[in-house]
Amino acid sequence: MLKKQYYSYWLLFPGMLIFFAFFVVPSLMGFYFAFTDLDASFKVSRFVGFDNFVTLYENPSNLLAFKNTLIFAVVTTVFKISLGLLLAILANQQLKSRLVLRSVLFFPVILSTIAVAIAFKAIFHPSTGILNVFLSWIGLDSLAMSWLTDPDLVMYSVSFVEVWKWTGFSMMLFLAALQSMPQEVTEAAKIDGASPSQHFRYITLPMLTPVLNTNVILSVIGGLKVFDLVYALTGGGPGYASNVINTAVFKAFAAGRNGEATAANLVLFIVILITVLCLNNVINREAKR
Amino acid sequence: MRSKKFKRMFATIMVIALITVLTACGGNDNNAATSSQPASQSNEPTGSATPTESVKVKMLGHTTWFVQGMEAVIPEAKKNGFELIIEKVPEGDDGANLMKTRFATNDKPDILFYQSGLGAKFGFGNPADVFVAQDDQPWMANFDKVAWKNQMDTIDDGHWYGAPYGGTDMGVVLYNKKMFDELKLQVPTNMDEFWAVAEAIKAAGKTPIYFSGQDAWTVQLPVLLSNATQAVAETIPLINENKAKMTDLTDRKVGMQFIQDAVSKGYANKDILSSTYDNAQKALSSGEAGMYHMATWVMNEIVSKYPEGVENIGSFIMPYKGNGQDLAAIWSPKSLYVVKGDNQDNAQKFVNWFEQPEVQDIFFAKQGGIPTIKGVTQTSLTPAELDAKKFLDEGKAMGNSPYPFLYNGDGNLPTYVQELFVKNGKNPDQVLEALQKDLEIDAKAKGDANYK
Repeated sequence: MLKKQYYSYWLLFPGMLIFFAFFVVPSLMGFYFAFTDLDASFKVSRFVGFDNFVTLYENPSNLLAFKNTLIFAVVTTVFKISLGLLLAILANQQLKSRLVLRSVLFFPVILSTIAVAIAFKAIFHPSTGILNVFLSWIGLDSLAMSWLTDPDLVMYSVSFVEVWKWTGFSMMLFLAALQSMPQEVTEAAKIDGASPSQHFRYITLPMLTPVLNTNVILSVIGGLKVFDLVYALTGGGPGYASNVINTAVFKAFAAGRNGEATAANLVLFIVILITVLCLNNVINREAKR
Repeated sequence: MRSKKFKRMFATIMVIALITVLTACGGNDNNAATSSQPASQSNEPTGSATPTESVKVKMLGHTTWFVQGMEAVIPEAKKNGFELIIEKVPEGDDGANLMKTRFATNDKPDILFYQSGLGAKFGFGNPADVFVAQDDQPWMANFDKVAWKNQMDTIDDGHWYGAPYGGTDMGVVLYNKKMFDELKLQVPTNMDEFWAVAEAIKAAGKTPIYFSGQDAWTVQLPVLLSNATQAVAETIPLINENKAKMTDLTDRKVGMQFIQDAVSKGYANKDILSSTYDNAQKALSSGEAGMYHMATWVMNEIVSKYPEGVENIGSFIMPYKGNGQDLAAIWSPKSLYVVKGDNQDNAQKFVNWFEQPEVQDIFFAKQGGIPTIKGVTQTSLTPAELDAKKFLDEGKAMGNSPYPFLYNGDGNLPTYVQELFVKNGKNPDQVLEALQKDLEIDAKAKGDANYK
């Protein structure tokens, strides 16, 4: 009888060493620093308990940042998923232009976020931006807004840009799932007389659930962690109107309040963890029904 | 045999793992090899700082700080053996945040270009730990320590860490002289006259007052101009000891009220929050706008971008109080900071060479600004700067923040002032309260017993 050969556990050592040195240790240090007065030179002079968290809570601009982050995550996830699914179904049709269509719809994903932000800054300019100029040209002056400078609108404008940029990615994931669906199931449904809507409701959608799960979780995490787009598009302004958690973290680091910044990061980590666990749970429960 | 093979494999893996970790940890730790010898003892005298072989000096600063003057100095530096590697970051808070992040992650240059009077509160770390003190450097012989006390030294420990870079700047109202002449307007000497001038410009179909609100740092200028008073100079030390509050800075409130009045009276430009610093320069130099509250540093950019408008721009002191009681807000020159690290000796040699009057002549022959180093004979001031220089010569100038704050109460001033323009934003009283709260947070975070 042949003896089963296993690789030695020692082979795990280099990988584990790097994982611990560059992920586990910094993460644990981050948790610790959140409870200290870590300054700009990364020196800790005292343990401050929950003071950093109290400061975060007492600062109205931080509360607004949390609210804005949640708005951004929810709005972008809803639109990226629903539009991504619709576009995937469209791009999956037997159209002559389907290859061009797929490329065009995916194109925004490969663009640099900074380039996109600069372009949309120009598009959204209240008097010279192409959007308001076009609205005025077709007689809809009343719809011409201060897209990036009205505090009531700015988060939705930023969300729009995120949806425009990332819907193609969501579409691609759905499209890959649609194309790997077994034809036999579709044919069987047709023979059984299922209408297109019944086919979608009872065949396509359930089979897309794993991809939907992945898509939603990726989108929510991306939404909660947003920084680059907001910073490049509005810098968190006007005032603090479009501040999100990571712009607040960046500003706290820049002000040399590193303890407060790591505390905000810890809160963000916990929010992401809880949200993803809940979402995963809900989606999996739905899938099992 | 098998055991030998295992040992050889294990040893190889361990070596690879060790190299990987050490390589990653090695990084750019500039402080790792900090010289224990005082910098002042390890450098040659100013005049003889001519290294025999080329040395590299890495520099970090805002993009627009390396214009005509520095461009003229770079070839001379090369002739003297300095190869300058300049890394430029954007203007305002964005660029400053990038620089601070670089320091926080220990990815430091050899020379930092930044505002003068850096203290620990600025976010680069404790100056004594990060920068080389300049107190005894040879270039100091041509520098007036008394005049620049409280402006260019740090209140943390009283040492001088920055060497002057560029000229002194003055916060004034820049105005289009051609427009004033055409409309037969006089420079206003009180607020009634100021609003009358604004009304006349508006009636002529032009923009009386320009605010470039997209670049938040620019809209704090009207506030900083109103801040240059003796009362503020006397109140800030009390704030530092928690014996007064930011809300007591009533002169500062005057500037904020002016901003709101200018907007509500219809004298400001459209789309304030989408207008940039560059838009303002263009509007002022082309005569599309009449007045812009800014410091004279803007003239460097106007000279390079809109040279046709330079001769048409003059400056006057914002007449908040009137009757000749107002002062121009004065800014220290920018500074070069020698960063402690492996290359600090070469960086210091460059600073000593750069601050010589002959090298400053090369700089100021090409760039505006009033020189801080004594003995500089070549300058190229624009009409607006010449107007401002007169105020300085007449003693009508005071620091825009006439005494340094001990804690970071002003870091968010640009953002708060931006909120004065925002629908349902803050009013001047709320801005002062918010500044007070920021200051208290910072003071408490630093463990100040007065703020517990």
